[in-house]
Amino acid sequence: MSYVSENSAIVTRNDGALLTIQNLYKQFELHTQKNTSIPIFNDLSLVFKKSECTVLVGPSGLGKSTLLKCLYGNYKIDQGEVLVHFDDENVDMATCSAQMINALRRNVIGYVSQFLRVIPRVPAIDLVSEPLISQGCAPEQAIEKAQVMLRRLSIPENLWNLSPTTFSGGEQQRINIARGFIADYPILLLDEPTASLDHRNVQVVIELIHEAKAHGTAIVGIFHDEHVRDQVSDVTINLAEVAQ
Amino acid sequence: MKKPILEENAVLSVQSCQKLYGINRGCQDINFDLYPGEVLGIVGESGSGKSTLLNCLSGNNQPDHGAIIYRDSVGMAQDIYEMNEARRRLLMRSEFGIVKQNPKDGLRMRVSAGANIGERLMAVGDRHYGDIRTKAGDWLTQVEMPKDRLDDMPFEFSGGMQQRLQIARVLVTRPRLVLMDEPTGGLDVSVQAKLLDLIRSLVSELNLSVIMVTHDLAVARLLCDRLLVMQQSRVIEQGLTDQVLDDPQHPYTQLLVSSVLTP
Amino acid sequence: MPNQSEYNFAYLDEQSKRTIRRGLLKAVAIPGHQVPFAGREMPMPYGWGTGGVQVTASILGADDCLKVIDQGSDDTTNAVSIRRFFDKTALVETTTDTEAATVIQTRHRIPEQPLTNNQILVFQVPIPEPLRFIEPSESETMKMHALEEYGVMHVKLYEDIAHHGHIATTYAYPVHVNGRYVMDPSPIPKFDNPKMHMSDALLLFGAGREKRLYAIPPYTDVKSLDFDDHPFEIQQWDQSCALCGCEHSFLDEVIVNDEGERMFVCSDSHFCQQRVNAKLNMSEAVEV
Repeated sequence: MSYVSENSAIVTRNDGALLTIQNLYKQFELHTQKNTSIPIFNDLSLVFKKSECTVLVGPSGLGKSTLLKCLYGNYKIDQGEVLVHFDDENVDMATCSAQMINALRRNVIGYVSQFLRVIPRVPAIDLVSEPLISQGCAPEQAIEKAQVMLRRLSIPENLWNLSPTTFSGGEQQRINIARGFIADYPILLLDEPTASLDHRNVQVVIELIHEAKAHGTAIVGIFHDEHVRDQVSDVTINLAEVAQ
Repeated sequence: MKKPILEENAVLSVQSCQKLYGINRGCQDINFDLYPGEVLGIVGESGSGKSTLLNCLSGNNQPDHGAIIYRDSVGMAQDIYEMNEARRRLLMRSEFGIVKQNPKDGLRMRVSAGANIGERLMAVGDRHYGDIRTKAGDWLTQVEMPKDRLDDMPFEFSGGMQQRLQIARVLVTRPRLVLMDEPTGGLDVSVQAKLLDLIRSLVSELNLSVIMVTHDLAVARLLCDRLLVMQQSRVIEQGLTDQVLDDPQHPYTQLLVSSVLTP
Repeated sequence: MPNQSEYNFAYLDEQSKRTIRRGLLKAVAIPGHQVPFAGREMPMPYGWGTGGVQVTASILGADDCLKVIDQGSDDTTNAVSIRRFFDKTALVETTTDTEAATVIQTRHRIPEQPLTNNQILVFQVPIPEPLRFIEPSESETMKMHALEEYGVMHVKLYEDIAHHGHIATTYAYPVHVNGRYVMDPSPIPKFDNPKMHMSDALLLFGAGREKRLYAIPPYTDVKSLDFDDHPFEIQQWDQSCALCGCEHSFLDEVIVNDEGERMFVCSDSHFCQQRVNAKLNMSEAVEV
C-alpha cells in the first residue's frame, strides 16, 4: 500500500492504513436559522487500519455520527482530506467526483446506519442481496448469501418476502446490519448497530464484526453498549480529546 | 485493495446550456455529465427552469447556446442539435426515451395498449406482427400489468397503469437514456411506491441512464444517485443525492430541504 | 345550344389550369408526394369531386374522350353530372367505354379492364393525408413525410389484426410509392391496389377541399403496407357476378327485393355490360 506524500514522492505505507483523515475541518452553516455556524471538527487527523476496529467515544453532540457521515461522503468536507488508500493510489473523498463516491460505496465502504430508508414494497431478501448484486454477484448466489445472513440475524423466514417498512425497529436494524455485512467491504462504518437489539442478536453482530476483521476489514464504529465496545474495540478514540 | 474503475465516457454531457425566456426565466449555465447507469434528479420549485432544461435535453427546444452532447450506442459523441433532424428524431425514438408527467401526453389514447407499446418497434422497422405482439405482451408483464389487457384501450386503465404503460412503451426499444418529467406526479401514494420500485428495478436491470425532474425530495432520495438543485434558471447546488439532502450548503437548498415533512 | 361553348374551355380560366398543371408536373416528378395547389371554387359542393374535376379540367384537350365513373358505375348521379359538365364546358367527346376513353375521372374504383399508356386516370380524393388519423398536426405530418417516419402507419394495421384477426382496412388502404412516400390511394377498395403497381396509365389524384395534388407516374413501384406474417391480400368472393359470371372482378352486393334477397354483381358496370354483350353475341353466333 502506498500513498502520495506532500512532496509527491511515493511512500510505501506498510502500517496497514486503509483510510486516513488529514486536517479535517467541518462546520454546519445554518442559513435558514439566523446564519448560525456550528463548528464540529477543527483540524482532525486520524488513521484507520486494516483488520482494526476503531471505536469512537465521547459525549453526544461531539460529532461521532458526523464523522462517519463525512467518511461515507454523506456530509460534505469543508477542508482537509479523507484519503482511501488503494494499491496504486489514493482517492480523496473531499474532492473526488460523485461518481467515484458512488463507486466507493458500492465496492469499498459499507455503512450501517440507525435508520432504514428504502423504497416501500421491496422485499427484505432483495434489499439484503442488493449490495452483492450491484457488485456484480449472480442474483441466485446473492439471494443464497442473503438467506444465510437473515437466518443468522434471526429474521423469521415468513418475513423475508415482505417489505421491512412494516417491521419492528429491531428487525429494521437487523436488515441494515445484514446489508452492511453481506458484501465484505474493506471499510465498514457502524453507527450504533446494536442499539435496539436483544442480547442474542448483539452477540451475532459481535461475531460478524470479528469475522469482518479477520477478513481484513477496517471498522469504524459508534457503540453505546460498553459490553460490545469491550469485545470489538482495538483502538478507542475520544473525540472530546482529538476534535478540538 | 483495488481502486474502482469508473466509466470514463459520459452518455450525456451538457455544457453551458442556456435557454432563456426572460431575465432568469428558463435555464442558464447548466453543466453536468451523466454516466451509464446513473440516475440524475433535477429538483427545484415550479418555474425554476427544470422543464425548460428537460425540453432542451429531449431535442424539443434548441438552447440559445451551449452544447448537449450525446454519446450513442456505437460510441460516437455529437451535439444533438448539430446532427440533422432526421437523425435526432430517430435517436429520440430509439436510444432516448421520454416519459411525460401526464400519461395522456405520452400515450396514444385511441389505440390499444399493445399498439402503444408496439409503435416504437414499428417506428424502428419491425414488420412482424407476431413478434411485435409477443414483445408488447412481455413488456406489459415487465411493468406488472396482466397480459390479457393487451388489447384494451389506455383510457380503460387507472392512472398508475397508464403511467406503467407509458414506461413500457418507452422502454420497449431499449433506450439508453430516459428522461422523465415528474413520473409519479399525479398518482396516489400507494401507486407511487409501486412505480418507484418498478423504475428502480428497470434502471438497474437495463443499466439505464436517467434524468428525472421532480419536486418530490422523497422520490429523489429513493431513486436518484445525484441531484441538481435549480433556482431561478440556475443550478445552485449539485452533488450526491444524500449529501445534498442531508448536508445542503446553499441557503435555498437548506430552505427546500427544511420545508418538507420527510425529505 | 350554340355550337361554341359559353364557358372558357373546360370551365377554368387558362391561368388556373396552368398552375394546376405545374403542380401536376411536380407531383409526377415526386411520386406519392402531396403538392399544394390554389384550388378554385367549382360549381359543385366539396365532397362531390371538386379536386378531380379541377385536375380533369386542367389536362383535357379538345380531342380527348372522357369517361366518368362513381363506384365503378357510369350512370350514377355524380358520374353523369360531371360528364355533362365537361360535355357542356369543354365540348369534348364523352364515353362509357373504358377502352375508348383517354381521360377517366373516378371516384372509389379503378376499372377492371387494364388501362393503357395513352390513358390518364383522375381520382377524386377526400382526405389526401394518410398520416392524418394518427397525427392531427399538418406541420408534423409534413415533417414525418420529409423524414420518412412511417412507422406509425403500421399501428393502424396492428390494431386491425389485434381486434379482427386480420387487416380489416378494406378501402383507402395505404401504399408505399416508389420506395419513398406513403400515400392514401383515395377510398378505392384494396382490391384495386395491385392495379396501381407498374400501371401503364398515369394516375393523378386531386383533393379539392384540402387543395392537394399527387400522382403515380406510369411504371412506378406501388406496394401496399403489410406485416411479414400478415401479407397484403385483396378481397375475394365465394360468388361470381350474377349478370356476367365473372369470377375475378370486384363485386357489389345488391338487395333485389323486400324479402332481402341478394345478388352479387360487378361494380364496374361497363366491364360487366361488355361481358354480357360478348356472351349474347357468342350465343347468337352459335345459333347461326
